[in-house]
Amino acid sequence: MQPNDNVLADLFSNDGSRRNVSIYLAFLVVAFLYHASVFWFIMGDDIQSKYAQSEYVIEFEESSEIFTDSRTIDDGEKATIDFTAPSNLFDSNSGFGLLLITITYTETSGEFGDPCDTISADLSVTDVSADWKNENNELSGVSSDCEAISLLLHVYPDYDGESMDVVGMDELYWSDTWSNSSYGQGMFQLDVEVIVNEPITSGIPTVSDTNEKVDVTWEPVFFEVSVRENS
Amino acid sequence: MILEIYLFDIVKTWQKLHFNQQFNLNVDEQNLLFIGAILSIALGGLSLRLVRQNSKLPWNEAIAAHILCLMFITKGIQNAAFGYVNSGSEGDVWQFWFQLAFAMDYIFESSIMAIALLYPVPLLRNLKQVKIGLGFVVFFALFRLTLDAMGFNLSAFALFGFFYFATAIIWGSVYIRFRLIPKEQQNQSTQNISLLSGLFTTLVLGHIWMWWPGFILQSEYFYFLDPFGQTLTTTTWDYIWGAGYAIGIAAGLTIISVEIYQAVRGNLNHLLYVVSPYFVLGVIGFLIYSQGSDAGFAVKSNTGENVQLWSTFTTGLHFTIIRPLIAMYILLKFNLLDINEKTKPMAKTMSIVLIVVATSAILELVQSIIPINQMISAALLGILIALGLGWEEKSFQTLVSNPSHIRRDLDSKWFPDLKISRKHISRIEIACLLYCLISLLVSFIVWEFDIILEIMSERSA
Repeated sequence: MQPNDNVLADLFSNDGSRRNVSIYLAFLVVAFLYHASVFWFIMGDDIQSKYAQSEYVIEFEESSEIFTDSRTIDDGEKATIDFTAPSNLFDSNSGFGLLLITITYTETSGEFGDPCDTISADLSVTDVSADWKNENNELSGVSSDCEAISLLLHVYPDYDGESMDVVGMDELYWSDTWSNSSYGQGMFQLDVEVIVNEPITSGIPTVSDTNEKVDVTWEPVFFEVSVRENS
Repeated sequence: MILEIYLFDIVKTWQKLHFNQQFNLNVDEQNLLFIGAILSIALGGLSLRLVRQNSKLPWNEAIAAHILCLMFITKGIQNAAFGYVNSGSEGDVWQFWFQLAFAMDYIFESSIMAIALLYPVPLLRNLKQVKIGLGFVVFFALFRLTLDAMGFNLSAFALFGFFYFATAIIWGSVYIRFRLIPKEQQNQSTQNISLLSGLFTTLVLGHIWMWWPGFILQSEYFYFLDPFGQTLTTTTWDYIWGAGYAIGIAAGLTIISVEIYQAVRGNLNHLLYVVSPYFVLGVIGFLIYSQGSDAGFAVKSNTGENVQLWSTFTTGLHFTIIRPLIAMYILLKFNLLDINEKTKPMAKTMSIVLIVVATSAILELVQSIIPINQMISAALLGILIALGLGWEEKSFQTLVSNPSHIRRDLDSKWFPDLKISRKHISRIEIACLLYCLISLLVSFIVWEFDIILEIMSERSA
């Protein structure tokens, strides 16, 4: 038989072929329409917003305990006072946020006209994992007027106790980011040095001031994180 | 087409360039690209020599065979170009490789459409139709290249995904016409024509078939497909691309349904064994891809290892290994290469290259999952290649000594006899070479003028 110039005439050359090829092409059209309806209508909003990133609010609920220590330090001596946060605090919280240290003292010699001694305190950088280089840290202080010395260490990086808004990722990601118990694990060391300021009556043989009692308050601030999507 | 799978690496390039993120490559994918490039260029080049020596081919088969060989050479260049894009080279030279890869993809898509119009049965029935049909596919490639040179890269005008429609409609219709032919008209040629149509459809659409559950069950990994991210393509662009996939999946579902139906009726075709793994893998892939929210192609480096591995072992292998295998089978089995005493050594070299490269590529991939001692893997490679070559000896003989025919006992109306000289057919090679040279020039322009970077900055703004 001579070829027909129109191939469609041969593809649809008899009833069976016409039916089969027509059904096939109709099926392709159905698939095309199905895809179009899902793409533009059923999942249209999801597809349009697939790059939209969710906003989250991260909030912290703080809790702290106070631990005290007291030392009598001789004139010119330096004492090292250690502190380790109890493990149960790590277990029951998301993280160790801040470490507040308060050093207090009074003039205890009882001598007349005895001025306050000079106390210097220095929180040593140890291998404890913490945000040692945070510019808001107060790692050392001096007092000569019996005022308390307050030190502050940011233990959990970027933690300042304030809630924050973030964009992207998901709740789990942000929750995990703020749940790391490795920060603050270990021993902190506080060096305290006393320089005694003699009373004006120090020339009298029975009058002297040779040491000072220093009280140290350790306040580890732990936090519990909560993340919620900002609607 | 190879383009899609490597888009996730391109996304990583965007990230590197614009978001200053860690450029985290999937090394296995990258190596696979270069292996695929070697394989495609070697097979395409050797096959082209053999096709040129085959003077017995009818006009449509000669043109289709030429285009098929050239298609694999250009595909190899594309693989290598994407490999360089992904290698994270310094500076903005990646734009050159990126554009070159696209230019080669245009010729791949046009080649596929040209082959579909001519083989296994020519839909173009006279010289005028041949000129118009082939003229259209050439124009289509040049039109897209021109758009790129003018700074309209990745615009909806380029009709990305159009060739999926062409493949599904043309080869799918031919497949249905000959596979469901009345029993009294069935013969080996009708079986072979439907097999060939099915094989070509698999070659083009196989990777899409592995996402069929995502299409039907409305999964994010299918419908969120956005290969170039929001910085380069619009939602309309993504839709056109996805619609091509939808049509491709519909064609695949039809083919597997027909094959199962025919197998149940006792009319089994080997095509069932080729097609069914894709659909079975689709079910497993659904479970894996559904773990994350990434689109199937846009598997990023920070996704789960399972998803990345799955993507490499399925889509990656289809592009780089399975496609050349199918092409090689078609060339040898359907007499597109004239295998005689003179040409046999070269044909055997081709099949050995295919086996050795494919075996080592697969072993490399396996090694990336299960770290094996290098000595053991070298020994394993030796054993596998020895076994492969033994199998090749046997299967090569079977293929060559028992070629399949598509014209015997079939009405001659399907095969019009057009007088197209070999001289004219050989000009396809010159045209392809010219296109490649123009592509290099366009890629150079795109790189020098930072066209892609400018587009990204405009569209993201």
